Amino acid sequence: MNSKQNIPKKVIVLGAGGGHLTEALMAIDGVPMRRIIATYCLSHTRQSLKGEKVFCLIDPHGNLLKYMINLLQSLYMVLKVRPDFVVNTGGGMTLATSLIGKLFGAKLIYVESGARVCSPSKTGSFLYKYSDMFIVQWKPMLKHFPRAVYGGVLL
Amino acid sequence: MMFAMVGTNPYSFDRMVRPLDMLAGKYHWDIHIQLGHTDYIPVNCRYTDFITREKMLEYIDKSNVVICHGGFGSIRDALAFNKPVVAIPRRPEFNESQDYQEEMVREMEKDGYVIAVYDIEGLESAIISAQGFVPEKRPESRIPGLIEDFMYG
Repeated sequence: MNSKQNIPKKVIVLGAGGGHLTEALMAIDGVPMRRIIATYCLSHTRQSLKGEKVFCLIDPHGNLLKYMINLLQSLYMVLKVRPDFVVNTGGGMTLATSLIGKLFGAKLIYVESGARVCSPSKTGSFLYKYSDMFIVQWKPMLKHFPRAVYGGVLL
Repeated sequence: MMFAMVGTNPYSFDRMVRPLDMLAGKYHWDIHIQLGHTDYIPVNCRYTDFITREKMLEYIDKSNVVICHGGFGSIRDALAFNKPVVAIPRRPEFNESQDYQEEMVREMEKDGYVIAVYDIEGLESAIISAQGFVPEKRPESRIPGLIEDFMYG
């Protein structure tokens, strides 16, 4: 067995909110890693993510000040964690962390949402060219993302 | 009991909730509705606007049919409990959503995972046929395997 496989990779798992977070957790289910879940925190979030390392990111919502805060939070998190990988299931909140992660040497794995059957998401379209691995859940999406891998639906 | 949900979508979904409420009155069905941002207030069903994820999963588990909008997350959560799902895609042209839900619901229907209702006139027969409907088995997703191979391959 390759000795590299014994060292779990450091991963920032980006799960923007609600459905995105659920998909993120399903996408990495059973994959060995040392992970931190970066999400938009509501009152129940930490409770639901018992046992996980959680980092709360602000959701920019098109607000310039919130984008700046998100940027600084992302920079802080990436410098602190020094991830090998960033796993992203979409949402505007995840852009800064994905790009900053790439900047500091992490590989970006993007999983396009299962809600996307024929038309791509904005976040997916933007991050496609930066992704080291781009996974789609429905075959028609391969038309939009020819370099992507079809992974089947996370159900 | 039956559980109905419209998700967290900011648009109202009266087209689903009002007829469902009428049917509950007609058949004396025990239905709990998660109303979300829907304007219509049910008279024959119990309802709450929003519930915690834990509570929602509890309602799904207790129900024998789940009626929901065509949101991927709602359908996925209902299927996790192997429940019969009646899915009604929201239509942007009726001001029910920003996105088209129909394409995803059609794929789900084709694979035998849900009973779909595109014209709301079909809601009554869909719910009746949902009793005893068994969704097709969902294949295990390859995504965790793909991610593990990419990370350690």
